[in-house]
Amino acid sequence: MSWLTDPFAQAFTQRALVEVLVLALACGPLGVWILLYRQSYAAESISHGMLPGLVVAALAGAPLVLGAAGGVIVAAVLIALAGRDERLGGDTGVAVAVSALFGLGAVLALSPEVPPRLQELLFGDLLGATAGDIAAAAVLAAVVLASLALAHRRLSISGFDPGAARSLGATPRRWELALLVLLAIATVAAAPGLGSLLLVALILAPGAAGLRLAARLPAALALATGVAALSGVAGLVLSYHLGIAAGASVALCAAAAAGIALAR
Amino acid sequence: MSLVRTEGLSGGYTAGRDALHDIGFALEPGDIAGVLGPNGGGKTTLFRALLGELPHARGTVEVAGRPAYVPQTEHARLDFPVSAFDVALMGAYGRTPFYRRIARADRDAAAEALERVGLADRSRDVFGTLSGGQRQRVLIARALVQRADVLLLDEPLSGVDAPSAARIESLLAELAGEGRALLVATHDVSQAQRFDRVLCLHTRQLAFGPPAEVLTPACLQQTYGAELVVLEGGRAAVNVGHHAH
Repeated sequence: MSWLTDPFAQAFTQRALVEVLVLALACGPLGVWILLYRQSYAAESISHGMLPGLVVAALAGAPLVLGAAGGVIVAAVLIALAGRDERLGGDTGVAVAVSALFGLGAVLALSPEVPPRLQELLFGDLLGATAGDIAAAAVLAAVVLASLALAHRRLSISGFDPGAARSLGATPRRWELALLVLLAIATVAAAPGLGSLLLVALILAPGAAGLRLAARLPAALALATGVAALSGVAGLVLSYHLGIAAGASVALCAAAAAGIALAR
Repeated sequence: MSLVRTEGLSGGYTAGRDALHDIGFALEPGDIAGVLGPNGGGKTTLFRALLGELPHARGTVEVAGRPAYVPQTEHARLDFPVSAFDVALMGAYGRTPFYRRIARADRDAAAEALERVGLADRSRDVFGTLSGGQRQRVLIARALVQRADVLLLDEPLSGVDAPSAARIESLLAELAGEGRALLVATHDVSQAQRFDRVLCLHTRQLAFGPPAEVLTPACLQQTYGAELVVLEGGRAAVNVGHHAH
C-alpha cells in the first residue's frame, strides 16, 4: 500500500496528481470524439505546432498557458491554410506547416542568449505544477467537459450520419469545427503539464482503449476517462519508483493501456 | 392538398452550376414515387432541395409536413458505438433542447418504431453488427421517431438480400397507407413498376407519372443513356456498376 501512497507524500507530487486527474477528465472523453471524427492527425498537428508559442512565453517569462493559447491559434490558422492548398494536398500541407512551426520553436529555444527550458516545453513539467497551473487547467478542462456533455447529441448525429444530420437537427461542419475548438482548449490546458510532444498521448490513447472495449458511446466515454485517470496515477507512481520523467511515464502508461485494450 | 409539390425547381450546390433543371411534380398523401436516374443524375440533389438544404435552389418547393432523409446504410458510420435503439432515438434529438434530457415519450416512441419495423428484439444490438436490411429498417424507424410525413429514401434496397427487400417494400407500402408520401431513389426498374408514380431524372425531369405510362424503353433510354442494357424480350436492366461515392 505504501508503494502507492509514498509517491504522494509531498505537496508537489500531490499537486501533480491533481493536475493529471483534472486533465484526464477532459482529455479522456475528448479523445473518444476525436477518434470518432477521425481527427487524430489534427490533435497531433495542433499540439506540435504550438511549440513556438510555448517558447516565446518561456522567453518572455509569461505563463505557459498563455503561450500555449497563442501558439495553438497561430498553428490552427497556418494548418488550416496549408491544409487547403490544393497544390500540396491536405496532409502534405499540414505536415509541412507543422514541421516548420516545430523547427521555428526549436530555433527560438536553442538561441544562445536564453535558456528557455526546451525540455520542459517538449515534455511538460508535471511535478512543477503550481496552484495557478492547476486552477487554469481546471477551468479549461471544465469548459471542455461541459461543452462535450451539452453537445453530446449533436456531436453524435453529426459524426454518425452526416448526410441526414441536418434534418435531424445538427450541422456537421459546425460540430466538427466545435470539436476542433475543444481540442485546442484541451491542448492549451495540457501543455504546461505534459508538453508539446506528450500531451496527445493522454487524448488519443485512452480514447482508443475506450472505443475498443465499449460497444456504446456512454460506456466508451466513461472508460476513456477512467483509463486516462488511471494512466495519470500509474504514471506518477512509476515515475517516483523508477526515477523517470513524470510526463513521459504518464504517456507511456496511457499508450500501454491502449495497447492492452487493442490486443484483447 | 399535395404533400409535396415542386414547380420549376432548379439548383445545385454551387452558384451557377445547376445539378437540377426545371423539376415539377406533386405527391399526394399515400403516394410512393420511385425516383429513377443514373448516378449523378440529381436524385440526391432533389432530396436536398426537398429537405430545404440545397444552397442554391430556385423555383417552388413545397413540403406540407416534416421531411426525413433515410440514407443508404453504408453512408452511416458502421464503426460508431451506437445501438439500434440509440439510432432510432436520434429521430427525437431535433426537437429536444440541448440542455434537456430526452423525454420518456420519445424513448417509448423509439421502442415502438423499432417494434414497428420488426426489430424490437435487436434494439440493444450495435448498429454496425446488423445486416444491411436490418440497418435500413433501423433508419426507417428513426424517420418514424422524427414523425416524418415525407420520407426520402436513398436506394433503400441496394445491398439488401431478397427477403429483407420484400419486407422493406411492404413496410414502405404500410407507411404510405397511413397518409405519408415516400420518394424512393432506386436503380431497380422492376421495383419502380410497383410504385404509384415514377420520376425519371437525368439532371432534368424526363417524365413523371404512373409507371405504366412512364417506364417506356424510350424514356429509360433517355434516363440512363449508355448505362442501360436492354435484355431480350424488351425488358430493360440498368447496369449501374460500382457506385462512385
